[in-house]
Amino acid sequence: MKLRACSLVLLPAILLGCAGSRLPATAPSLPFEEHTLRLQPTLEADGTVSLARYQPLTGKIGLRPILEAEGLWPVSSRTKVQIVVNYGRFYVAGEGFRSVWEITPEPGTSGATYHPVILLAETDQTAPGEVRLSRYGLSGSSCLRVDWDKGRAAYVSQDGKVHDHCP
Amino acid sequence: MTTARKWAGILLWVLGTAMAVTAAFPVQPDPSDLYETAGRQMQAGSFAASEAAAERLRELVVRHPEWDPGGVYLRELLPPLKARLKRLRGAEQKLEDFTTSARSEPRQPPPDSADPKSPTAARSWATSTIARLRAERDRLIAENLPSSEDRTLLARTEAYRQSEQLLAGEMLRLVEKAVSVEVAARAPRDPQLQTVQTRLDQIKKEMIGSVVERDRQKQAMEDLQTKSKLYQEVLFELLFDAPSETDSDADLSTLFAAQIDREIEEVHGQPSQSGEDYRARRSRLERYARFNRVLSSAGLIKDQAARIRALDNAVEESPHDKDSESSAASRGWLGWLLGGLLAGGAATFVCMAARRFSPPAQASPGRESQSRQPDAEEDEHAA
Repeated sequence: MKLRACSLVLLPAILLGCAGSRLPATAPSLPFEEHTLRLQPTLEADGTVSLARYQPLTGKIGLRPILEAEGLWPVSSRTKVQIVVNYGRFYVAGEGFRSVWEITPEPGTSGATYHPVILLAETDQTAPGEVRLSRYGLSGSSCLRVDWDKGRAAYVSQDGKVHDHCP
Repeated sequence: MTTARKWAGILLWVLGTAMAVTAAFPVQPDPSDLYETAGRQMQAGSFAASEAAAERLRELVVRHPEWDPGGVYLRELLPPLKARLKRLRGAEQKLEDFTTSARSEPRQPPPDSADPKSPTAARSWATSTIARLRAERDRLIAENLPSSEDRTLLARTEAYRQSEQLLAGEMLRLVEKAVSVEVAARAPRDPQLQTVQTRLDQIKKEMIGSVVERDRQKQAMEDLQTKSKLYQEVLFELLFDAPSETDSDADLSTLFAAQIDREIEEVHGQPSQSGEDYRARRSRLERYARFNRVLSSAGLIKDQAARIRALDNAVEESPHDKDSESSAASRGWLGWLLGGLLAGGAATFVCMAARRFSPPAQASPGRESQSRQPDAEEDEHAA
C-alpha cells in the first residue's frame, strides 16, 4: 500500500522532471528591433534579388513564386520591386503588383513563408502604377505604411495586422 | 439666420481649400526619397543640391516625427551625412578660392628667362610653375579630404573642373604670352634675342599644336560615337521595323532585350491570339533568332537566346482565338461553296451556249447523244 502511494507520488514527479529536462527553459529576452530603409534591389532574370548591395546585409530572396502569383513572370527588365523590413518581417511590392506581400524568414533555414497582406487591386482591375512602402509611426510601435493610387494608404502593425491608421 | 449662413459659407470654403490642398499633394513626402536624393546628388558632385535635400529631410522629420520612427534619420543618418557634406563643401570652397587666386596671380617669367644662352629657361619656368600649382592644389585637397572616396566625389565638381582647366590650358597660354611679350620687348635692343624668340615661337606652336591635336581627337571621338549611335539606331529599326523609343543612351543589346521583354509582356497581356498574330509572331521570332545569331557572334550584342526562347514559349503557350479561327474556317468553307457554284454555273452556261450555236445538220439523235456526252462529262466535272 505504501509502495503504491509512494509510486503515485513519485511517478508524476519523475515524468515532470524528464519533461522539464527536454523542454527549453524560458529564454531571457532583450530589446531587439530589425528594420531597414526602403530597399530597391535589382531583380535578376531568375526572379531573385541580392541583398549584398545593401552591405552589411547579404543573402538573397527568391521572388519567383510571388512574381508568378502576380502574373509578372517571366520577369521583365523593367519590373521594379521595393522591400522594407519592419520588425523582422519583409514586405515586398512593386510596379504592377496587385498586393503587398509579407515574407517571414524561418530562422535556421534557407526558406521563408509568404502571403499577400494588403490587396491593392482586384484581378479584374488595373494594378496600381505606383506603390510606395515606408516605415511610419512612433518608436517602438511603428508600422509599415503603404501608399498607392495617389492618396490611398494602409498600415501593417508590428503584429502583421492591417489597419487604416497606424495604431 | 444670416450669421449662420455666413459661418456655413466660411466652413465650406475652409473645407474646400483643405480638400484642394490635399488633392495637390496626394502623397506625403517620404524621408526615404529625400535621403536617396541627397545621396545621389552627393555622388554626382552636386553638394549644394545634396545639402538642400538633407535640410528638407531634417525639416520633414522634425515637423512630422511619425515619418521617422525611432529617430533613425534625425539621430543616426542625417548627422554623418551633414558632416560629410560640410567637409566636402569646405574643400570645394577652398578649391574655388585656390583657382581664383591662381588665376589672378601675376605670371611674369624671371628676368633671366630670356637669356639667349638659355633658351629653354622660359619653358622650364612654365613647367615648374604648373607643377608647383598642381602640387599645391593636390595638397589642399588631401589636407581637407583625407578619404579617397571624398576626393573622388570632389573630382566630380565644377570647382575641380575649373582648377583642371586652369592647370591644363589657361596656365600654358598665360605663361607663353608673358614670355613672348618679354622677348619681344628685348628683341630690338639685342638681335641675338631673335634666336630665343624663334625658339619660344616654336615652343608656342608645339603647345598650341598639342591643344589643337587634343581637340581634334576629341572631335573625332565624338563623331565616332555619333556614327556608332546612328548605326545602332539603324540596326534597331531593321530589326523591329520601328525606331527605338527607349533611352537613347542604352546600347543595342539593352534595347533588343527590352523589346523582347515588351513582346513577352504583350503576349502575356492578351488572353488569346489570332492565327494572323501567331504567324506574325513566329515570323518575328525567326528574324530575332537570326539577328541574335549574327549580331552576338559579331560581338555587337550579348546573346539573347534565353529571352528569345522565353518569347517562343510565350507565343506557343498563348491560346489561339477560337472565334477568329472558326470564322476563318467558315469563311474558307463558304468560299469553296461559292467557288463551286460559280464554276458549275459557268460550265452550264458554256454548255447551253454551245448547243444553241451548234449547226442544225449535226442535230441527229445519234450525233446529239454523242455531242451531249462531253457536256455531261463537263457537268460532272463542274459538279
